[in-house]
Amino acid sequence: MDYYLGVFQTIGVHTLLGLSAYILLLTGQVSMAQIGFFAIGAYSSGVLTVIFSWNIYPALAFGALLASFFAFLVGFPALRVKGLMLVIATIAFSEIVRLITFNFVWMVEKDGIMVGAEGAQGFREIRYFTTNGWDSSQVVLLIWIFVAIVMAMLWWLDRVKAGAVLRAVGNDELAAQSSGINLTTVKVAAMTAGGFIAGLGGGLYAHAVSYVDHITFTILMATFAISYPILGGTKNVFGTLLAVIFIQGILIEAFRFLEDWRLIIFGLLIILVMNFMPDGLVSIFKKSNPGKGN
Amino acid sequence: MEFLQTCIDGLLFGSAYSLLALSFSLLFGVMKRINLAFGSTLLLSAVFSLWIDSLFSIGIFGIFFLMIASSALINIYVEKLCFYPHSGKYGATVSMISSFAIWMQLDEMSSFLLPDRTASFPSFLPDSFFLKDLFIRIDQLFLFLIAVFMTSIFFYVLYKTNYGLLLRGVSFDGELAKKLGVNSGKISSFAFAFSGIFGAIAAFLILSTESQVTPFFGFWCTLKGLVAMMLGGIGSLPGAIIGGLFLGLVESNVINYLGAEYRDICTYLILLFILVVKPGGIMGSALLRDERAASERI
Repeated sequence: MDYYLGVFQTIGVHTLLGLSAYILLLTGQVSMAQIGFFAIGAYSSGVLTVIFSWNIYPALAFGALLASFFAFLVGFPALRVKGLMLVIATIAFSEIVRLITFNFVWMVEKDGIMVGAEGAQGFREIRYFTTNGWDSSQVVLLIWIFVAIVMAMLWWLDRVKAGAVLRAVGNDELAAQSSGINLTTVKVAAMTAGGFIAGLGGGLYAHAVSYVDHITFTILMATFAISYPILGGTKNVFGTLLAVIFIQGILIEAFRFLEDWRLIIFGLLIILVMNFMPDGLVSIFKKSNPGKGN
Repeated sequence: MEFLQTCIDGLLFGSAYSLLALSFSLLFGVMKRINLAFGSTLLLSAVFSLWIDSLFSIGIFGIFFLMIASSALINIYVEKLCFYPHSGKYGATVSMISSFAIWMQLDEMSSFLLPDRTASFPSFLPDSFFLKDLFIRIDQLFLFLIAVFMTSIFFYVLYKTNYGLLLRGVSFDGELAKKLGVNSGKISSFAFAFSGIFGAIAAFLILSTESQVTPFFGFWCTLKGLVAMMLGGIGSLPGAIIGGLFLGLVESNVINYLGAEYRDICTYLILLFILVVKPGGIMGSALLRDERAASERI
């Protein structure tokens, strides 16, 4: 049972990560910085609950706000670059954050043991849930409540004017600009919202697995984050969830019996989906629309 | 004197980066595609050649040519699966994600062929020498000369041959080139094979100066090549060389004066700074500047 709870937990956290990239993708920005925001959320909320003994909710909120603040700061210079340059610039940002967590040491003594972040050793013993008597199913429930809230808000966003503005910028910046949309505001707002979601996901992840280190935040995870909305399609918010279930649930967990061959099959399957479902995984539930390219 | 020694070390080590940046700049600068599987391709071709060598003992030249051939073939495989099918607005991103999937696949294959995690790589280059008080590694000096030599070949192919013209045409406007009867699939395969050959030569030389191959070599190649190319400037061949040397210089000085743990942070900060201030890189091509100027004017 614990195994399945673990899978649900991973899928929930990765969905948050994917959704944070999804909102940026709506505006046409391909960002690899999400994992950097995720790391900021994970470390800051971990420091708050472990070292300052905060309650989990304000700690998560603070982590998410700090991540969105950094996203806001990154948003402005990132506006100057587009397309593949933005990819490289955001990779550089994520790597800077990762290397800072690699060198980040902040340890205090608590009940006779040293707790806190220990540089390359990682940040261990983020035990808020176990010391406060939560069991794994409650943790999974908490994660999925947040996932549901975020998904509901993004779904609602598509039904109001703000969503149309985001998609307009993503479809054609020039046309959007000439119809009076302020590109800077829209893009920075999307970046900030994405940072908030990623920071929230990072805080939840750190507390759920009780241990984070710099290896969690490599470029590999950044690519995962952006591949979920691309694989799932940006038609609606469920595509990202489907893609996470497809990759984390089916390809990684259900194919465990393939052992070493798993990653080889994994790569091929992703490429097959990319080649044969140009509109993403959501197109399974729609009639095929042959006139449309990717 | 210490500063001079650090700079010489940095410049010589930077020549390895220059070689990688050159192979990258063909795909990124000319085809405008990021191939995340680039390093894994080189790793797999090296590991595969070593594996064949352990079975049939083909010798150092055998390894060299086998690496070139296998790397070109793997690159064509990557191109057919990840890059050829995707064009259009998100084409560059979708193909980057696809190449990421292939990256994991190739790395897994390498770890099949490299069960011990490390293998020694044959080295043929002469030893180092002292010039008065300065320590100079001959093998890295050799790397630098090769980098300059390869740039001239690269330049010749790109600007003086028919293939180079077609390649530049496809990268400038794929649709138009197709309408004028260019077989863009063939040209793109050619570009990938060419970058594979360049990459394999670079990987062979770097591995023989390091005299061992580890599973991290692939990712190292991708990252350093990408950073060196971005620093130097996209689509500029001398820029790739200068970017590599600059990266080596920065790294060795940071290690000497600040400490090894700050090496990568400083590199990325400089990269971020250059990207934001001068998005084309130090010697960004005029083409890129024009595109940018045009989009700003509108």
